[in-house]
Amino acid sequence: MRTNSKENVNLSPASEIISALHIVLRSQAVVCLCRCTVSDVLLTIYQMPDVGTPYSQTTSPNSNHCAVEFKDQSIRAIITYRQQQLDATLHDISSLETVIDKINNLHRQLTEQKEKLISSTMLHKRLISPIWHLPTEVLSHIFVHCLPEDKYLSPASKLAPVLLTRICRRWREVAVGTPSLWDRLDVPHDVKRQRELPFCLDVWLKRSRGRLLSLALTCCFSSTMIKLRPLLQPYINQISSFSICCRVIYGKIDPLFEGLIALQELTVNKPLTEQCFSLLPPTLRIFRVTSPYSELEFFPSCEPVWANLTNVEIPIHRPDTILRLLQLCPNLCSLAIRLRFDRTEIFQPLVHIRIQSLHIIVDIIQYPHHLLGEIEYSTPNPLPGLLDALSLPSLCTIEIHGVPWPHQEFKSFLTRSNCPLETVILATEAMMRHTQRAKCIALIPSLEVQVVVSQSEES
Amino acid sequence: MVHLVTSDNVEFVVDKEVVERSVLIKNMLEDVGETDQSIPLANVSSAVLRKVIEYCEHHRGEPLPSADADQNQDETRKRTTDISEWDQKFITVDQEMLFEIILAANYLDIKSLLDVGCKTVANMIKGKTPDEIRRLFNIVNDFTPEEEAQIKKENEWAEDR
Repeated sequence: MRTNSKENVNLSPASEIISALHIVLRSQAVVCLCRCTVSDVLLTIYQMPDVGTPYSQTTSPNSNHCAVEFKDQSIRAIITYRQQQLDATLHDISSLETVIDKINNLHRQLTEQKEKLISSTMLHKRLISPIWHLPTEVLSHIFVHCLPEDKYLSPASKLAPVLLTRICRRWREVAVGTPSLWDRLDVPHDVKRQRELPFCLDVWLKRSRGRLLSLALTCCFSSTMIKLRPLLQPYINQISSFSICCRVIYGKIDPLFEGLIALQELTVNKPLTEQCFSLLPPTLRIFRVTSPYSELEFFPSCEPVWANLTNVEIPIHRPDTILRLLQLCPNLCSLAIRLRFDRTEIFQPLVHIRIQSLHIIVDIIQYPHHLLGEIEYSTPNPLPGLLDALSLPSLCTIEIHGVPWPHQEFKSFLTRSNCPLETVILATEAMMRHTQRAKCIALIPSLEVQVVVSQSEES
Repeated sequence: MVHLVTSDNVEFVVDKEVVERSVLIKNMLEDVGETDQSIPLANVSSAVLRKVIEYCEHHRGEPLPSADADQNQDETRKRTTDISEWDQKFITVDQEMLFEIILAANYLDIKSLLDVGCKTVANMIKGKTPDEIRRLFNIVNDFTPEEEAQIKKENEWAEDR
């Protein structure tokens, strides 16, 4: 490597050739060509010979014999001379073409040299970047931390993981080769970009290399979702978490649930039909219905699915549904229900030995005549009755939103359940009074009471 | 006490409980048993080891992350901003030292320190454009025009999102 002694190194070997070319061309130049470039010289040094003769302008034949004979000799001499000039010019052209070839060759070599120098400069610049020294597995680890915290990732080019493929070759290789960057996707459904969707899915999901996938589909119409289904087919047995949000459902949507053999978590915004339920695999553990206004119309007979569920989040509009749900789901650990009752109900006593977390939101329905007068609940508060009926001996956390704190019923529930309750989370409208809190803590000294902003206030 | 010798030949004498936050050293000590011999750390300089020991001292006695933590996706994806105040202050170093600490944590197998370093770099990347990222880390855009075209094609559906 010769980098340390600039004066001994010829940085541009071709410069000697170019200088020599300059000198040769200058020596032939008619005009002063000081400080001209090679191209300037080439344009100016050549003086086109005058090819005009006394006969150049002749247009009609001459009838004088002597004069004609003399003229013919003179013209023949011109032709002979022109032939000699032409031969010399052809020779010059041939020589010049040889020179041009050589110059072109030199130009090509210099261009190649330029590319190599740029590439070498880049290589060396890269080598002094500290991040270059990180092994692939560490860079990959950094990339995983670059992912947004959303459950399903947007394929935005300004966000990881897509962003990471746009920096340099190495980052692209590492990002594309890290399957955990590509295993959750909010499938973009944009009518304008519908044609690009198969390519998007293919690029993204292929990179997951067989990992379990978390996918979200959001469409206005169920028919659009059904059209998307074939695109998911190559990856269908990888889907472990599936979120389906559809504003308008018409026609059959059960094809969406076919073949989901690895499904563990399902989130829907509308109740499912019995046909859909029958397609759900026994691997399902978490089931959510997000819309507060939709209740499951039935509790289907496919009990194996319900029996395996550990986490359920659903709206309930009929009091008896709670009982049926708890009976169908003996393995339930976490239950979040949104109660929206329009009638009073006496709950049957029920013991559930697995539930550790119970989250209850009560939606109070207010009818028009109540909105005009003093605020009062138009429907009975179902929570006291529910707490009176339930015994949950494994309960660790209870969260209540939407109704006043039912202290008496809660105390009885605690005594009856004899549960290891650790935390009570109350929305602002369910505030517990100091005396009530003291009584609860007397029962469970380690009890933590948290107050959160109510979900209705948040919305 | 454990004797450690760095790449620049500086010896550190460190409490066993502190140094055992490194799984590499812990395994070495388990293999060789009690010894007065120094452990050479050919990949770690004294400046970097000083920082690593400072970290291990501070986190002395805390439970080590389980070996299968990486298997848990949620664990891997825990909040990147989730760096304690002390750790944030500790990792506020120049870029060269930051990457040296990450390399040392990787070599010495100190998962929690590796996480702190990686999260810090990830937080530096987030919210930046490709050009800003290249400038920040002195990275050269070495894509060929063909590769640029491929990336553009790949990202057509991802633009404007």
